[in-house]
Amino acid sequence: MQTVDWQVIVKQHGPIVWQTAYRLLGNYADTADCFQETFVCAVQIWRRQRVRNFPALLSRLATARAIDQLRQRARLRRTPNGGLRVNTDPSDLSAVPSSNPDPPKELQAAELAERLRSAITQLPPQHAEVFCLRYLNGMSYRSIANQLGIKTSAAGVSLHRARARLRMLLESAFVAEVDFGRVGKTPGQEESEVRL
Amino acid sequence: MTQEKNLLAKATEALANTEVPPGPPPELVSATLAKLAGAIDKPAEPTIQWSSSPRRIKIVPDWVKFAAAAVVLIAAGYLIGRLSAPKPMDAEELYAAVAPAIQRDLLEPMGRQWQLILAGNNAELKNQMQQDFRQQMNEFAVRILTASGAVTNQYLRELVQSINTSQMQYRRWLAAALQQMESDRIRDKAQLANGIETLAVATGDELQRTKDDIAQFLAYNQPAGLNPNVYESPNITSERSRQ
Repeated sequence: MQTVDWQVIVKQHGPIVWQTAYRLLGNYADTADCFQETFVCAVQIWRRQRVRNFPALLSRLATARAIDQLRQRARLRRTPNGGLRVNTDPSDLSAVPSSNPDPPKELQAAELAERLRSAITQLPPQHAEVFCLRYLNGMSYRSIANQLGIKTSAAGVSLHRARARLRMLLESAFVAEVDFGRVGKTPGQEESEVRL
Repeated sequence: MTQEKNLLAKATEALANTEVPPGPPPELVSATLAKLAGAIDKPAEPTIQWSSSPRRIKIVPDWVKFAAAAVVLIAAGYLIGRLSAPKPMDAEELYAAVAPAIQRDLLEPMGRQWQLILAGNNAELKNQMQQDFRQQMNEFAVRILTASGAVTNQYLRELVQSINTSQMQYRRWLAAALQQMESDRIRDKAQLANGIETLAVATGDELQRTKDDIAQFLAYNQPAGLNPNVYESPNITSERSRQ
């Protein structure tokens, strides 16, 4: 069995796991659970086989766990009236010091991020992992392919399909929101918005 | 489409630039290490060790095993029988040992037998050859005669044709000569008739002139001193003039 000092591993690569999980989950509690599950899963893998690249493995595991938790959260969040719910928990918002001086823009970015999280939950697992590893963790195609045990071309195909699916989901969400806003407004309000 | 791309890019950028609090917290690290220590000390879960291919499960029925065993037994019996069989004699040695005696025993009787057969059949063979020769010669003569008859007939036909041609030519010449003779005869006859007429006319004129001369002569008055021809009577003169 490979000799590994897990204290060093956790301290050295813990921030990567933390950032990866928090970026996808967006709150402390879920990120903490994901953090622990990621390392436990890494230990199980380490006991079965030799690990050559711990950062990549931990990034993949954290991404996979985070996506799983996003799915669970999406399932729990499906209320009868539906709709998108932005994370507005005051404790989480206060936990992150904002560097953006423009609150509306920050709110819009948070809304977009939450919408993308919701869209990611609707992707196939492999596509979602490839998308997150590529665009959120900045991994190369070859590293992604090595971590997922697929070919580089397959990783590219998965990424392409994931992007296409995400575009469609974001567009449909955007159109639904626009229609919902029009239905909820009176013609006078629409005219006034157009004038503004 | 550009809006969709921008939307995806913006969403990705927003998600990637999400503000992440510094972490992990020390208490989370401690809890994680404790959990990892428990997980490391925990005995490994038994895993299924696949021999060669993890997805292939070989389920062999019993009848296949029995069939394989039967095949193995049959093959083993065949090999044992094949190996335990006596070694076959070498063909070359056998041939070298047997060939001289066989040649000696076979060639001499066969030679004598062939000589007897040939002697008995010599006369018959000779007659047969003579008959064949005659038959062939007859056939050859018939062919020659046939060929010569055909050539002779051809020559005769050509000769008859040439004779006919000569006769026709001769007849044409003869007809032309007869026609020429007839035309000459007619022309001579016409010339002769013309000559006779001319002669007659000339004779008539001459007789008329003679008559006139005679009449003039008769009418001539003889001078007195002249005596008339006593030898000529007036009757005789009239007769002559009548003639």
